[in-house]
Amino acid sequence: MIEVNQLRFKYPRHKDFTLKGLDFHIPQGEIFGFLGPSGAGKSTTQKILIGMLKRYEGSVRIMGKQLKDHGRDYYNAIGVAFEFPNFYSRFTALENLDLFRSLYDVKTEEPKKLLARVSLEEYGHMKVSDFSKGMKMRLNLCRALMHRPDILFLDEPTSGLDPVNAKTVKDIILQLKSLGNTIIITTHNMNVAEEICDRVAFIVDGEIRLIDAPRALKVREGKKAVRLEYREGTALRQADYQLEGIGDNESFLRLLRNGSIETIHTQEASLDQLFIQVTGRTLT
Amino acid sequence: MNNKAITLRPRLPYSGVRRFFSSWRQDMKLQFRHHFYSAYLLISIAYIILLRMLPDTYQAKLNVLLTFSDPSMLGFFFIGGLILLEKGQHIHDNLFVTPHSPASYIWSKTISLTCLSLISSLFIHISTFGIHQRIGAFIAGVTLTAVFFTLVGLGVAVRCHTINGFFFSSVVYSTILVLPVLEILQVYTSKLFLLFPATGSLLLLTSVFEPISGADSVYAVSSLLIWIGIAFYWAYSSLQSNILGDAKGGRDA
Ligand SMILES: Nc1ncnc2c1ncn2[C@@H]1O[C@H](COP(=O)(O)OP(=O)(O)OP(=O)(O)O)[C@@H](O)[C@H]1O
Ligand SMILES: [Mg+2]
Repeated sequence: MIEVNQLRFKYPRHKDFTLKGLDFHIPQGEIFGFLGPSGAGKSTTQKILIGMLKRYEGSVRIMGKQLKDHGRDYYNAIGVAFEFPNFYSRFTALENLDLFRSLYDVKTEEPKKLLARVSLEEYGHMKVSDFSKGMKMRLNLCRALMHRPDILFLDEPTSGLDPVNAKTVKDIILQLKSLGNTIIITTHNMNVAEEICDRVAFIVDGEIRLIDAPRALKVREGKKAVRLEYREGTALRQADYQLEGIGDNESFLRLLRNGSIETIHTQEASLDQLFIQVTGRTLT
Repeated sequence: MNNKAITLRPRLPYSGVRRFFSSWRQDMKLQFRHHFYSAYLLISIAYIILLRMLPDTYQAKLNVLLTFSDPSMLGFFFIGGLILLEKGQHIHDNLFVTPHSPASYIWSKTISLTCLSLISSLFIHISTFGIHQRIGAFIAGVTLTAVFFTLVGLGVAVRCHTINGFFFSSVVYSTILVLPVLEILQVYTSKLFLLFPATGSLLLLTSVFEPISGADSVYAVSSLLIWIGIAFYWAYSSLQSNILGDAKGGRDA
């Protein structure tokens, strides 16, 4: 669906390249995540893929065609939710959706239905200037979805959302994937990446350091061990056991049978730790 | 993995035309919501009172200047306000990740404001002079003038980041553009003024009171049309490089 080779980009008045040769391929139906610290070039990459920054070097093929050869019809096939949810603030939510909807050449969803999917149905007639950040973020998602795009670009889709709404958004993304849509997510948030991305790319200083499935990474890089926390009298104790041959480990089995165990965790690496390990940088 | 083929979904018929008219409607709604209509009404009333207060001998000349200032200066500043308002709300990124084309964007803004100018100018003119035979020349003059100055205002506004920046630039641009007014005021005359778009406008508006030759009418209309072509091209490329990030590889956020 998206094939990028040797993508380089420099902002006009900058000395250095912001993107220093990115290679990645995203097949149809995948949720792909860009992870990286602030200033890594995630949003820049997204802006190139959506045709906003045109003077790049390298090859960007999308839906079988060089990005440069796509006309404005490209925008009937992609949906974009920018990091900052901007709207006509004196228009209501429905008036805004109505306005953007009228700019497409393809059939669009009923705005009221979209609002209902993100629990905003009661706020359709409220001016967007009276919306909270979280409400605007959800409205932003509605706008990106309304023309049923084949490819969806989401910049920090869950920032500013409470856990319930973040879950709603994640569910919508997964549902779109199940319909065969391709979704590209940009985020600092490891949990989002772990929960919904099929593959992630670690991007630092305009370079991709690693691309893989979150689960494969965690299992491969983590310790193959399990940690138990248990009570001995009033004292809280912990013990680690290797996963290999754990079924024959007497001490482990005895604890399982007799101990008062409070928690059991496998010790696979978290994406956060992995990120630091691979890039030498923290995510934030 | 789901392998939905990328089906090329049908495009609705006459998309471009439909989009243009709906964005025109949305522009009018936006102008209404931001009180452009009430502002125009107040200004029109002020103009009418001014015209009523003046002795008859000056009325024609002043009317020419006032009706010139309405589509030109007001068009220029109102489009500036509109564009900067959209810039302030950071709406352009979102508008241009839809199939909306820059040309359609420019014309729907320009034509919606031109209509506003035309209605207000006609209101002022008819309430002072009534309906007369040469109203056609008046309408042509106002429309062409409004289109030209609105396009220039749009080009200036997309290059500016702040209201102050816009006002500063507009002093420069508008002063140059309206220089031929000096001729009407009999302060200064020059053959060079024939190259200015405002000369055509003033000629057409004057013709409402004192007939002009056919050659002059042809000159006025074609000069304005050429200037509109130039202004559109300039506005279009300003939009491309400043809002759509085309020319120099991007833009400053
Ligand atoms: N419009 C711009 N003009 C000039 N430089 C820019 C522009 N936008 C971004 N940059 C620079 O490009 C680099 C990458 O920025 P980018 O916005 O792509 O980072 P990011 O990974 O999205 O960061 P964040 O996580 O904070 O959103 C930064 O050094 C930034 O200063
Ligand atoms: Mg970013």
